[in-house]
Amino acid sequence: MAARREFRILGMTPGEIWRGFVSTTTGKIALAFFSIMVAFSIYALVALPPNFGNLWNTPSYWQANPKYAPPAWINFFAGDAYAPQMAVRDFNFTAGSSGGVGYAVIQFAVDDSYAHPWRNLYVIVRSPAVYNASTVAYLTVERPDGKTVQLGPVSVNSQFVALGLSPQIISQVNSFYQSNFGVQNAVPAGSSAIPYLFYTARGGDLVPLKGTYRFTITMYSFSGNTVLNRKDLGVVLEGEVYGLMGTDFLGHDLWLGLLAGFPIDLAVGILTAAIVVTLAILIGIVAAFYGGLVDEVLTRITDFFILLPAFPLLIVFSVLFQWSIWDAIVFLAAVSWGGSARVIRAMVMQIKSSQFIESALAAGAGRGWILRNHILPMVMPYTLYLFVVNVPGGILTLSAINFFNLAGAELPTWGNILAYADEFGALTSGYWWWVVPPGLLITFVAVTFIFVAMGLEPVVNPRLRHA
Amino acid sequence: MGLLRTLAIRSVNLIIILFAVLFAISYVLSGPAAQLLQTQIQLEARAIVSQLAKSGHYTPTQIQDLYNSIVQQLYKAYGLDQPAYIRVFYIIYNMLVFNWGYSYFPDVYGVASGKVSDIIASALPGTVLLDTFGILLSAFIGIQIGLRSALRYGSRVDRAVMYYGAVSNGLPQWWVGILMLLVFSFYLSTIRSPIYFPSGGILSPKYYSMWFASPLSVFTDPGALADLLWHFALPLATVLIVNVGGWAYFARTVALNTAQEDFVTFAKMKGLPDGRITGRYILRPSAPAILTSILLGLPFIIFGGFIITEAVFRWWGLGYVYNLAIFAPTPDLPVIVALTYASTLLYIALVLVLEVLYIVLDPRIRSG
Amino acid sequence: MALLDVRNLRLYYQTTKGILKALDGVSFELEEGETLAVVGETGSGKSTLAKAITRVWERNVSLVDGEVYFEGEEVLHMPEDRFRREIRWRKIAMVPQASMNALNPVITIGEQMIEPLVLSGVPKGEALRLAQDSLESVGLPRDVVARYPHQLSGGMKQRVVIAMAVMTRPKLLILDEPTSALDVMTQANIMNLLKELKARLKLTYIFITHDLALASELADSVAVMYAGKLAEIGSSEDMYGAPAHPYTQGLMASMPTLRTDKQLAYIPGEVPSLIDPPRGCRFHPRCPYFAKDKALKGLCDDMEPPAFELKPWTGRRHLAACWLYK
Repeated sequence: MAARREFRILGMTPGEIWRGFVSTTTGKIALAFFSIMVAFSIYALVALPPNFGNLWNTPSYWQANPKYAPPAWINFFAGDAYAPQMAVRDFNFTAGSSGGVGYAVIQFAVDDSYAHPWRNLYVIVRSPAVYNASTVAYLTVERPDGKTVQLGPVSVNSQFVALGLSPQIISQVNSFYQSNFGVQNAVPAGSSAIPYLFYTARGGDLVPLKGTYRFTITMYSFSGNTVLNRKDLGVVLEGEVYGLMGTDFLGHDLWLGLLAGFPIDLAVGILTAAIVVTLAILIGIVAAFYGGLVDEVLTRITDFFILLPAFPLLIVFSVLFQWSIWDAIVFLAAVSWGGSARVIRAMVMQIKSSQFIESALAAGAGRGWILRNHILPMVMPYTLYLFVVNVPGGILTLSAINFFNLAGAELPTWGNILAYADEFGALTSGYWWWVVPPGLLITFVAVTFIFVAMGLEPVVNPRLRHA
Repeated sequence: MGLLRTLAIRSVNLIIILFAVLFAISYVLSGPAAQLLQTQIQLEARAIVSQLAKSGHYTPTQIQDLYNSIVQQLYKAYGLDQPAYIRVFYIIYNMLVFNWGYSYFPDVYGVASGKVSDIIASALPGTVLLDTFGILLSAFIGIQIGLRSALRYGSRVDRAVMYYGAVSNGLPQWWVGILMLLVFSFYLSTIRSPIYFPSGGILSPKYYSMWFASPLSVFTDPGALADLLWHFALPLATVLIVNVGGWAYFARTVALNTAQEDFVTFAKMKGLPDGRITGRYILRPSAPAILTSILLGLPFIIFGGFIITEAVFRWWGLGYVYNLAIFAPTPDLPVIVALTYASTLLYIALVLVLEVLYIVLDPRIRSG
Repeated sequence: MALLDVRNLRLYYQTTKGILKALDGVSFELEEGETLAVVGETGSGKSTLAKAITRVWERNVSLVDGEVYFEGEEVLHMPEDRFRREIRWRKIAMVPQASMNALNPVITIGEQMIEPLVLSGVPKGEALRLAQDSLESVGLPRDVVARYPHQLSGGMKQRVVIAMAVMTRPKLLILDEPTSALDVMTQANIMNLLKELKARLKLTYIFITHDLALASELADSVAVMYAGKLAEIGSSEDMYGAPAHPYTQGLMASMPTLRTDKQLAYIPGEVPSLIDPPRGCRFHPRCPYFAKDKALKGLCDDMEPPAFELKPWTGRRHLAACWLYK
């Protein structure tokens, strides 16, 4: 028989191991999950800007988004009742100047067919020259019922102008209702006036008025020849719903936040597991291989770390030392290797006392040789399994720490998103889109690794192979 | 007897380790935590003194002296006037004689005396009820399911159990708690269902004093008991959902491994009925491994995901107390150290119990 | 009427590499009081034969087929419950390979020995007495009943298992390599024990081994298995004196003897794969006759030989599955 040198681990070539892995249903599912996970992580790294972590914590970036908004697809089930976020792109634009006053006129129309219309209207001026000069804006709304609402002037003194809560606009909308429908104080105290542009009064109640609304925004700039360009201007209607996964208290697009969590949580889990396994192998092999006093000492140390209440200490130290997430990972890994080390030690002990080691020693093999050619090849496959097994623990524990707003509260990890959800009363207000997806994703990643470990079990435990 | 000697040696080892853990925790905690406390004291003293200064009755020097003396007194009261290593020894000594001192922030816990031992005593019943009972019930149910599943290896029920076990191991327990609250507390009350569950707490406030004074009295009062069960339903459901699966998977794996043993095949050859094979040939030999797991799991679970679960439900147990102690204005050292010590002590005690049980169950060790 | 009549017994396993035909159509008869030695190389299917008859096989079995008649009744397809209650251990008992591991480590020997008896209604005290008698008859002290398995040596454990097997006075006792894990001295003791039990209790044995010489001590007849099939079966005189099948001849020739100076031969080649066995006669790649005789080409490598009847020296039928005897 031709003796081609095949690379074998535990009597199987990598090809056989792979086939064995994917032949089980568990293996197939694990492979599918794992691919999805990796795909999303890569997509996150590619699609999100590299400074996303900073952007996440810059409130102004998310200003135009509605807060606490459910995902846009609930309209599918709610019969299109909720106005979506709308960034108006095709508007008519004319600009010019006359008599030392620069002006710009923006015109657009929106179709309101929603029971819950838009919450606010934002005018975005990206030119500091414009908003640092004295610029004002007037807003005219032509309603489907033929009535016209005149609003303004509103001072445009920053890049981002929210019209809804401006006292001027609120009082103007109130007087519109008063004079046209005889309704007093149509806009409730503290509310944005914009939704009420889309209502009408019927028998004393305010009901939505559906139809086409035409908006005309006129901006005047009074100092000098400040030029208003089309490209510097933007209009956003804040919707009742937003995006794929809704928004949170700050208007964060949760879809992006959750996406960003993929590479971060994955990195966290993998890093923790890598450190744990490295330490476990080192200590396990050294203890079993050298035996005697070295073994005694290392076993005592291992017992010590196993008894250490890792999680409470992690919390306490994170609070005391203001740890970042990387500090937390290192600490957690540094105290969690105990169980794995014990297993490795037991394995090596068993190999060491087996008969073929005895005969190898009798034949004059050196200890280093035995280590390289007998012990390591048997321990290595188990290492992969041990690694996979330790990843879920890392992810779950660190998500828990994040839930307390510790160890890196500024990153968009899933634990952090949940922390804010709890803090901002998602539970008492029923913001399910904020609460369910992050936990679901944590579970998904943890379960993926658990399934991979299950698929690997027959490979490392030959007794289970035939079943 | 060799048996007693082995046990004795093990016990000594474990006690040494207990000391080492205690020492490490006390040392690390007393260091930086003390810093924070000092800062806190200075701030408080400054606040007090500046009030007095505004009244205008004191000269600047008097103010300064007053400030110093306040700070000194407070330092002394909190034991900060001594160097770190002495403080550590005091802490360890006090832990051992169960003189656990007073909490820094007694108001947080609502326990009148402010003594740490009282605080812990007030929270212990809650923990025993939710954590210990919860885990034991999960283990009981899970093991039953797991063993029966192993006997029907390959069937759909078995596969379902296997997948459920794997998935439940990946569920964050606290998140499931949040989900339960969302669905059964918030949504049920939103749709004005007659049955809904509370959003937290272990009891309604009117039963608090009853529970703190004597927890058992709650069990004899039908009204209080109903209230307790009403509050207990969601947390218990959370614990069960997350933990039963893991136990089932574990028991199943152990049983499957044992079932591969030659003596099980031989038992079949002897014509023994399935029930007997399950009981005597699969369960009995598996028992040591399963029991090890139960006893090892208990203390860790208390101080693992349960801290958060108790926090989510605001369930008055040791985990929630731990939470409060850690997130107090500065970490409430006496409570933290006492709790950590207690958990390690409990763990060691359980390990010893386990060693004895193992010897009873596995004769191979006895003459070893 | 034969005590055991096996007809075309097949047992296939499902493995990741395909279907493994461990037992592929084995037929033979066994008379009461006869000791049949089943010999063959590793992977020939001899252990599988035992598992098939006692109906205790692995989980990944994909096919069980054929008929097994015991005392005239078909038992292979009997309902499991009835087989367990009436046949297993009462009528057919087995001493498995590596009996050291066959004992439950957490129960005493006595408990394990009396289990089957107690379950069929025998009072505990009497069952225990029977157990002790049985231990005595295999040469062990009576107080072993109170010990645990780990307190006994390998040879003692083997005897315990044999004691357990003969305790219920089964009609058929199958022994699967009962001595291969033991040292030579213990081996000799066990063989003597088996001979003595056979004489005293008139047991019918199926003795599975790879050691031809060992088989010759006990066997009235010998069956040779190869690659899941029965190559040859006949009385000991026929088999040892005039082996017919080329494989048997090769085995006999490779056996060393004390008395004569013999040139030891060996059979070249390796045991074939049971998943993808050779076409036709499974032995033909290694058969010296096939290699030499051109006339056999197209026959041995194309069609499986049926069992041909040969003229026996003694009363027992002599069958060989080889085209040479067409």
